[in-house]
Amino acid sequence: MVKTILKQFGIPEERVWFRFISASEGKLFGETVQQMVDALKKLGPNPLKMQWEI
Amino acid sequence: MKNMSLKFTGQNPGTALLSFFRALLTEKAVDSLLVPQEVTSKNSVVSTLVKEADRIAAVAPLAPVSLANAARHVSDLTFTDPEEKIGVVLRPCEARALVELVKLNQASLDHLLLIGVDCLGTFNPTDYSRMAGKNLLTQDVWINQAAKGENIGTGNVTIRHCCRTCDQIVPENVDLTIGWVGLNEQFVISMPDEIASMLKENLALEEIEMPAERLTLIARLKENRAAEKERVFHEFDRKFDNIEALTAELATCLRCQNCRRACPLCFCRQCVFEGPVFDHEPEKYIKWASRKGIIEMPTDTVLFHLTRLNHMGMSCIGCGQCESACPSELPISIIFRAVGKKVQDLFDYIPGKDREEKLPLTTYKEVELEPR
Repeated sequence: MVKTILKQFGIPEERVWFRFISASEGKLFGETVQQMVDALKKLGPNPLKMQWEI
Repeated sequence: MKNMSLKFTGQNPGTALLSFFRALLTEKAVDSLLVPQEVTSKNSVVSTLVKEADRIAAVAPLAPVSLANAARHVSDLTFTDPEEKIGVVLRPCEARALVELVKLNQASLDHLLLIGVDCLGTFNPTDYSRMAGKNLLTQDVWINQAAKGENIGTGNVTIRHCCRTCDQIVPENVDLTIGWVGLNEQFVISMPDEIASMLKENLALEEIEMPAERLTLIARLKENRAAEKERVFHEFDRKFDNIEALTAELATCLRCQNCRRACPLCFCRQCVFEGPVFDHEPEKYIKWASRKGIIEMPTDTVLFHLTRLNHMGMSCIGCGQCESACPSELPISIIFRAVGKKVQDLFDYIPGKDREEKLPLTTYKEVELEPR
């Protein structure tokens, strides 16, 4: 749902991640966060960040 | 179900309606009625809860104006057991909103007789007030002028644009329907057999087949309006494909939250936008301003609308009350309906359509976790 709404207004869906990780899967959680951070670094800062009217 | 004809002459459709609603109370089909009535000054029509049959002299459920989605009032009346049978009059969008509110546990149908009315649309309350004040528009005028599906404006003022793109003229999910579109000098009221036998003698009702010209006209109007809706949604899709377009459109948003208050589906007792989550500490504003160099105050205007889209887009039944309530006249009903439709399509969900179908977010299907 969130992705559908954001996509409508041109916000790339890869900026929002949904993953199911159980409380016992600490390692997977750490890996996923690392992956997300890497992916976001590659995408660079959201251009909206500098818009003051938002 | 029986289709019963209630005849009137051109001058007095309202009198025939009045006799019908009086009979519902006097024949004890219901103990009380939630029904719109014209105010004494005649320049508006408001919802009323009526116990005494002689207090509904100004009954006007077909006047083309709606100050609030009546499903809200039904929620107020049935949040706990009202301990009596209430007849509630609903337009198609109000009947849809009620279905959603029942699914969200905000209303109950147990003690209700749902009385649906045909609707060709409503005017903005201020437009209606201006015209009704000059006697240019009343319930009787409207029934006579619009029953053929034409003349849905008066002078250069027309029904709300949300209504012009609404393809539901006859309500669904109601117990009884008062039909007037496509008819001449009669209402055709579809009602359960037991109510037909209760009212038949009192009102001199006559059982008839549903007139074919009514069905043809409604089918044609539905088709035209569905095409108009398609066009408007498509136009929206093209225009609002970037956040700058949305930001520009919302530039005059005051963040007054009237849209949220008017929305029949925004039922939260406390909105996240009124709580501590958005009561930021001064240092937070300063931090944001330092980071960007400049921020708009109040903050979070676009975020407010995006959040509301996320919260109730799935259940948006398209009544347009958000837009009527907007002091900046923003086209929010189209934004909500068009984006809402996309969210609803993800789950093949049509809000307000099926009482039995569960809300998508209250059910879990394994397939939903698959990437798509």
